[in-house]
Amino acid sequence: MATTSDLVIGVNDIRKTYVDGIFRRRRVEALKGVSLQIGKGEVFGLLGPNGAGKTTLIKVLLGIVRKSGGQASLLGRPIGERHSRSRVGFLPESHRFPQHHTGLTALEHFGGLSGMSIREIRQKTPGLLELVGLGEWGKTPVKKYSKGMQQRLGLAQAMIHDPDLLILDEPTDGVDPVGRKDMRDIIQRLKNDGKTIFINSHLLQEVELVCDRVAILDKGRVRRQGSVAELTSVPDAECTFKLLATEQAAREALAGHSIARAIVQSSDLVVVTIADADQAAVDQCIDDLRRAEISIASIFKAQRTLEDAFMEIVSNSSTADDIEEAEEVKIVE
Amino acid sequence: MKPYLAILKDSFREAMASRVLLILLIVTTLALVAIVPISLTEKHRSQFQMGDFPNPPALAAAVRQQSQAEGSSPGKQIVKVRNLSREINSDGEQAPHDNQILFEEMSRPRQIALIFNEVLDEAEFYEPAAWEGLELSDETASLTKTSAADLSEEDIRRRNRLLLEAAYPQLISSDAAREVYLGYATYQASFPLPVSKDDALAFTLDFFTDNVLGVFGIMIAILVTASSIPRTYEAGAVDLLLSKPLSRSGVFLTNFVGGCAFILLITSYLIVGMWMIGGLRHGYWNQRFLLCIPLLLFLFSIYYSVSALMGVIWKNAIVSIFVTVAFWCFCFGTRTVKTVVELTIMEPQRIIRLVAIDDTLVASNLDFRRGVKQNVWNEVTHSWQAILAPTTGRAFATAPVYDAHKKRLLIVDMAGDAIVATGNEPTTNRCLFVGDKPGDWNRKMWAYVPDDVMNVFVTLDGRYILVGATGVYEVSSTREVAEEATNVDEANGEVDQSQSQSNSFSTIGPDNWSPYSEVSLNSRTAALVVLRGQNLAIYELDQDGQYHQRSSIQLETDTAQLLAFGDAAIGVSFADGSIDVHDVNTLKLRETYQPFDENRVAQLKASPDGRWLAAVFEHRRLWLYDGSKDTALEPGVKRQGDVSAIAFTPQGGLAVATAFDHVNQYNLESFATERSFQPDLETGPWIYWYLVRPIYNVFPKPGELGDVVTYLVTEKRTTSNAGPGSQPITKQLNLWQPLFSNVAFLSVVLGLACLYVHRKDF
Repeated sequence: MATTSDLVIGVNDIRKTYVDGIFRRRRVEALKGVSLQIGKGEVFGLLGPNGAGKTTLIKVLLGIVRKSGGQASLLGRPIGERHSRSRVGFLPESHRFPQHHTGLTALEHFGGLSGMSIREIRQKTPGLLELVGLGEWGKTPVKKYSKGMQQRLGLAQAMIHDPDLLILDEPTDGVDPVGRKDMRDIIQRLKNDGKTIFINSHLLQEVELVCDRVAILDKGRVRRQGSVAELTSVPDAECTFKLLATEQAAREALAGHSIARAIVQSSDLVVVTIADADQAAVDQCIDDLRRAEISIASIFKAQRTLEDAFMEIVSNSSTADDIEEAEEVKIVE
Repeated sequence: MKPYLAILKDSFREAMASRVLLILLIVTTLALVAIVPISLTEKHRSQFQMGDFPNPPALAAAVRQQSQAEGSSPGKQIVKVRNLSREINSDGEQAPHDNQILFEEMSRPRQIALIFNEVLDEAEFYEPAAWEGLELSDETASLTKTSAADLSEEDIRRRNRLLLEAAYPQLISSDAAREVYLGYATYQASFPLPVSKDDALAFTLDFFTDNVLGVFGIMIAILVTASSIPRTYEAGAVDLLLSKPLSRSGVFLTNFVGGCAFILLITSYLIVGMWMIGGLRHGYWNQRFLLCIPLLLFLFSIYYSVSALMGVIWKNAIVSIFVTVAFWCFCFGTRTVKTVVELTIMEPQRIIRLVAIDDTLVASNLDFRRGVKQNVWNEVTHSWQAILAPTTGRAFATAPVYDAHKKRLLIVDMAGDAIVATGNEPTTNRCLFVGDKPGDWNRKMWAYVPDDVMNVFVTLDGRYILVGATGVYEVSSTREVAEEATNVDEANGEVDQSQSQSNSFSTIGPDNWSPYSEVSLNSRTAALVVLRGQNLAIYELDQDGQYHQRSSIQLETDTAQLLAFGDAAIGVSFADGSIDVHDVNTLKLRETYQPFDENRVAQLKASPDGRWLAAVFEHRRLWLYDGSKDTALEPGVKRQGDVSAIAFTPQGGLAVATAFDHVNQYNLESFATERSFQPDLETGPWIYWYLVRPIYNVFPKPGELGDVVTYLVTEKRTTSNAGPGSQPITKQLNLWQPLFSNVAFLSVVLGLACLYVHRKDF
């Protein structure tokens, strides 16, 4: 958890209700009290199915959409302030560059919008285009760019003014596997430079690979947040140790733990399985084994993929919401 | 500031990339190249036209009288040349010198133009003795000093025209002294336009800027720029933009300015190009024309603001264009409706002259179909009631005057269109008509008047003084034939010719009386002040009842126009908008006032007690001079700026006509309203005041910026159109009001757009 001084994005009970229709009677609650905290240097992933409110949350953070309630800060200032936006680079989802631009002029334009001088922009542009893989395409009109190239250019415009925070909304959308790899490398490089990165995506594998922490948003609520390991861990999973020891020595060393089974594979090789092994128990087992001078050949602990965790969380949240809605209907009745 | 400059720069980059800018620059260049071969060849205007003669009967009378008098005179020269011409045309056969036919012909505008045009060609027309004592301009004097043999044909025509204008200053118009031949490359039109080259250029630039650029140019500009703002606010583009450290209103306004800057570039290129072609090709360097650049830009910005607002809301260029065109149509429609209603319903009711009679008022209005109508205020019906019957001879009617002794109104008018011959002398049927209060102001023909009579006055002691081009007359009281007066059928204007009353007048003018351009009478002393060119003279009645010249002075210019003769001072108004106040006794100049720049005086009157001079200017502002304090002031009367007529009342007040047919009577000391004459509204005026005018006032008036263009190009604050008869309709150009109202509209629309983008969730 980030300290106050390190807090880059602070979201506390943010709500957003869209009002629509001729008589403004149609109301859609896009965010129902979202709270997040993202610290400096973090790569944070916001996951969620389509319509979960991910883009709305980003637009609220950038002041593109007005919040209906709650508090939020960006780089230590209340959201909506122009000064905080000057330190943010944003790659929107399905963005459209003005069609009269080339790659070079687009960067010149968006650099100018970020308050950079022409000289600064022209110094940075070639390297930046090279970085995103468009070094040879700078003078090509944007309208001739493929979807992936537009995403690369979008990333370049988000980085041109060297922002402290990058908000990337579906950054790998339409990008080929090579491009995704490039983009991951760039994100890693930015992280190494101390930049904070907020990634909004429904491509779970990408998020799993690059993010330090993840939040899962569904139907306007944050269902879970934590590190990728935390989200993918199985709470009551067994942990299997392959040990270079006799069965007796192993049982003695792990006497304080709940041994589910021990299988002797040879005179000095035994496989011991510990039941209900959470991370603390696993750590304790390793400490006990090493104290008894038993060598650990391997450790295996059962884990879910992020996709499994995501599906489970979203499925549970749907059920919970159905019950909640049913209770609300009852109360109304 | 850098982010906004980036948006501005991007507007031009977009225009360049889309080639719109390039195409417009090429089209503009082609248009400029196309107008380069236009040529305008200016010549002195010599040919007479019908409109050059405001009062043909008076001119015919003046020529006749001069031709019959002793000694040389312009009239004799005209007759001589005319007869000479007839002899030549009849192949040497002696034609009868029927001068009577000549004078009859001269009474008709078409014929008089033909006769005078024949005179123009005559090299020997000028005889120094004939023009002796007349005011000649420097150009005329120069031409007359040169021998006819040394003058070109054009110079001779020019000289003869100037001589005729000098001989009959009030009877021949000299407004347009030059004419211009239009040409293109090697072609030249055979017929001239009756304007000077500068006026032709000014008119062309005014017309092109106001109607071509102001309508089609603006529409093209809207088509070209309409897609810019919707594209900015499209999904996918707006997110990127709003994530930058920019203010939403700033983004919108910068986009708006970007569109305007693009049009500024094109407009500047076109206007500067036209200006340079006008200067280099025709020597017409009118720097004020360059002010049309910001003006056109302002006009564009008004329509573009509507387009931009729609673009932000609907994010669709077609909707923006459609709504903007609809807005243009609405503005054009409201202006057209207002103009039509004013011209057809309201203007015919506008009071153009006021006469105070005892305790009420007589107001004249100009009905386009029936000519000048006189109306008296009816307190019972709260309306203006027609009196003295509608006149049939619109061109020659004089202002009504009031004889307080006999409770009688007098006007001089045509009794019909026919020329009447009485005895051996041809004359017109110009008559003195009277309307008596006991007779309910019904019109009665009182007597024929000499056909050169231009002005009628009544002195305080009840004498009727008629002033004409050839003399001053007084109605002989012993010949008063009011009871025998013939009723004139107002429908056909027939006159009972068995009763000739043309001898009811006696000449009381001095022997050396000559045509004048303006005259005014002091009703108390019966003295006349007369203007002839630069000469200002006072004539007084002697013991024999004859006028003689008491004194005269030379004014600094020959542009004097109107006179007012008070007890304390004589007011003289000039074409440059100034008013000179002269001392009555010495004629010395006391003070010069120019209260409203170049706005000219339309009416100038002196109060009966001689203390006040009052002037109504062309732009309908009232100005007063207090002779007792020798001070001038602009009184705070109601609707100051819409004053169309004034009259001093016998009670010492001032009646002021405003708002077409309303009159307020003010106390001259306090300017408190003493009495109001406001007719009850009929359907037409009701629609105008409560429907047309409010709608017009509330909505913007981009079309009225055309007035500002006209002012910038022509430097005139008024426009004059020929009205019925000889009376021009002077329209005051509305310069500031459209600017203010359009700025207000622009601010409101841009404010709404900013508010919308500020509150909108994109």
